[in-house]
Amino acid sequence: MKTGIEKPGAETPWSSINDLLKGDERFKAIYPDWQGFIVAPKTLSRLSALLNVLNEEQLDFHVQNQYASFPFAPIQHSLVISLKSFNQVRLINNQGVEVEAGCDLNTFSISLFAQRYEVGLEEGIDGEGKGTVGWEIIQGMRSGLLLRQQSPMERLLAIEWMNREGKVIKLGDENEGAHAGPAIHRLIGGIQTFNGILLKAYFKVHPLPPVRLSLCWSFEERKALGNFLQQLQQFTSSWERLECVIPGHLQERGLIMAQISGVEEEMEAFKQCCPSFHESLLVDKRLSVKKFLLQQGLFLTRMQPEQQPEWNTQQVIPVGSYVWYHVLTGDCWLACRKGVLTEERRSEGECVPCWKRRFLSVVDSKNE
Amino acid sequence: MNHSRHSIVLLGNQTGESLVLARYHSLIREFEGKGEFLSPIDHSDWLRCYDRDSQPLQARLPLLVFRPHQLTVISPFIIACQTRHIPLTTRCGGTGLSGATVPSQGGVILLTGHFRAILKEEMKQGEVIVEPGVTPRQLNQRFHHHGWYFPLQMMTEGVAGLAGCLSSQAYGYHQSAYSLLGRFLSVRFIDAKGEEIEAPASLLAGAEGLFGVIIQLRVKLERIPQRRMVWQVRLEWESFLNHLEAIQQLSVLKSIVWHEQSFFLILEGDEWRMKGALRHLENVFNSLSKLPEEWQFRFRYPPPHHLFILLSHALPIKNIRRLIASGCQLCEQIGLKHDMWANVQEGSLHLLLFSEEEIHSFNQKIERFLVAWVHVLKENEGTLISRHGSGTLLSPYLPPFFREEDFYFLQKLRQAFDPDQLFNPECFFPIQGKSLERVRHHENRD
Repeated sequence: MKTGIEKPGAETPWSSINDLLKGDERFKAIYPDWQGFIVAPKTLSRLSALLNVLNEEQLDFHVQNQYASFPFAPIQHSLVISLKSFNQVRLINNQGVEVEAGCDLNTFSISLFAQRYEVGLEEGIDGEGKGTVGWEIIQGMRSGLLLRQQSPMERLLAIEWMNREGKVIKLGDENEGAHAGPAIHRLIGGIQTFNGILLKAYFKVHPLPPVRLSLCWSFEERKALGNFLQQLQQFTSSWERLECVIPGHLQERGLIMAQISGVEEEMEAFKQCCPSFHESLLVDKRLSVKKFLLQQGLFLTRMQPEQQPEWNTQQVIPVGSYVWYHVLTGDCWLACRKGVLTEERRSEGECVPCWKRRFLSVVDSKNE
Repeated sequence: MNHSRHSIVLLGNQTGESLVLARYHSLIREFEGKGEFLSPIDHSDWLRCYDRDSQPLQARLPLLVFRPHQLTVISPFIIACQTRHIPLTTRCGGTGLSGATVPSQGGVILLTGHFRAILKEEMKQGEVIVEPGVTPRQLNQRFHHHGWYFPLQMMTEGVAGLAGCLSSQAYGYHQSAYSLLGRFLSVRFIDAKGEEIEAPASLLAGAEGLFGVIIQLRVKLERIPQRRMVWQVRLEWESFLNHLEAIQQLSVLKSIVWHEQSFFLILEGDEWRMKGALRHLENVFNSLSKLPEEWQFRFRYPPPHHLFILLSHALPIKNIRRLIASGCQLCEQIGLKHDMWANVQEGSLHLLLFSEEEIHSFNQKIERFLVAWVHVLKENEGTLISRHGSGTLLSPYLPPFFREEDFYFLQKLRQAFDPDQLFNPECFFPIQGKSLERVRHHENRD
């Protein structure tokens, strides 16, 4: 991430915006790749009023649904709306949680942990620790925990978003059992391009389990790793996490990392039954493995399904690279030097499914 | 018998065709040989089978029922109806409980429940591609020995097509805490322009046929659990709720059903988890009664000669008990018999309202009940629909639970797939002019 400066109290070139927003809601942003203005309204009414002003002035803008600070390029707009002030978390009836879209994932997790609950929403292994809830929802929440065999997307109950005219629309319901009309909130999860402004999300929460175990096994041979992975998958479908790290160099050891939880009585039974339990390390190695990879000067890049190597069939992985594979979600990252993997970027409008084109056209349409 | 010729005779005479009915004649002529038609004169007895679903209050005879021979006929048929401004209602199994398959005024019913082919199987992942009329029982019979099943057990599991189950968010015997939506990966459907579209299942889930006609579904089966246990606990609500957090820590706890002063805990999962789970439950509750493994909370039909409707509401768990008390009181005031059960895992209450009165009186009582019930639900932070859709039965009562902007957005989304409101125009969205106030006005006048 390229660092930059955001100076509060900026006077933007637009007097209507300066009149509407307070000094601590207007920032002059200076980044290596971009300079412009960031506006971060602190209330819903000011956000709605801001959108009306921007519509009247016919000003183009970008909505920052991404990180708490500001890394993205290329940007054609000189004005960015940030939701960093929308970061509140509220538990509802001990069944669900309401979280504002600008809340970063760490703060979200910590708030829930403090009240002994969890949602299992996590950044991908390639994340830089500053992802927001809004960004994760739009990207599809592919990297979270499977709690009770449910992915984070399945725990999304409702969302609220604001259209470009400043109207707030709610899709779904915070009551878990409510199912009236189409489940559009799930469509927005993973949509990747969204011209509305995501404001809030409602998730189902689970109580923190009494016992949670992190396990790690290492293997000299890729085939042995693959066989053991299959054994673990057949043993139980209640893994919360099941990942493997496969080195390109055949002399290096590969790893399987797993996580499971339950009440004490269940976990005692698990220790008796789990294959090779006593050969595992009871430690969460993910962060240390990630740190190791970054220290090697490697970059973690998410791989599209068609790029994923069939590592379990001995297909070659570039020497010096590593494949990090999430067995439960099918997600895959390649840790390699820059240039080994070229990320294909789809240009806008190419290969957009029909349903998505129509859906986004409705999001963009004006009220008549 | 030449159905087409007789159908034309029934809808008008051959020499002086009614302009209004001419479009139906031409529809039959255009699709002669591509499917079968049922019409009012030739098949009035059979036509009655298609005037409603499993609820008695909303009913209307369709002008035509069309059963295509092939799925490929559906797109041209939709275009033909669109050109002639004939509303279309899709009917799969016809076992719904909300009137979603009741035909619209002057409408045609399109049958899809007879398309029951399983097109592709990927047993390694437990994924199958199926036609719309494939039933849960069909899948279970086919894949049980592979260790897979479709987790939707209900009375109509041998009749209800998966397309209908998805469209109405069917729920089954409440033995699962989790929505079925995760079991449907994607769908192919034909929109009002006759275009075939592939989309995530969430677009069509609960949409009650508003966006188009489902012609194919990609379904993810679930592994048959190694073990299943059902335990009965007799406790008062407050005592049970005090223990709720302790038992919700069990990941094998699939459902908690309340009925008649008992709570039924349904556990499914790995064998090694079950022993530990049982020890945990024994520590939490003083006494537990074990029920047979295959026990299910089954839908209980009312006695013969009783009309009934089923309502399902979602609300916070802490308010279920209060809503039950209010429901009992209101039923007594209005003179309706009832049965109630709740899913305590997710927070939903299900009311079976029934009566042996004739349909007009029953209808009036249900309307009175619903008008008052909407306010009770709001007071208890509840929503009108938990499962089974709103259809034509409950759509007039939706406005208090949706904001205008939300309805407006959904209307615009529907227009993106069905600009002229060809499909189910009377479903889900409240008919303009029929508000709770108007219903109450009629009640006072009576």
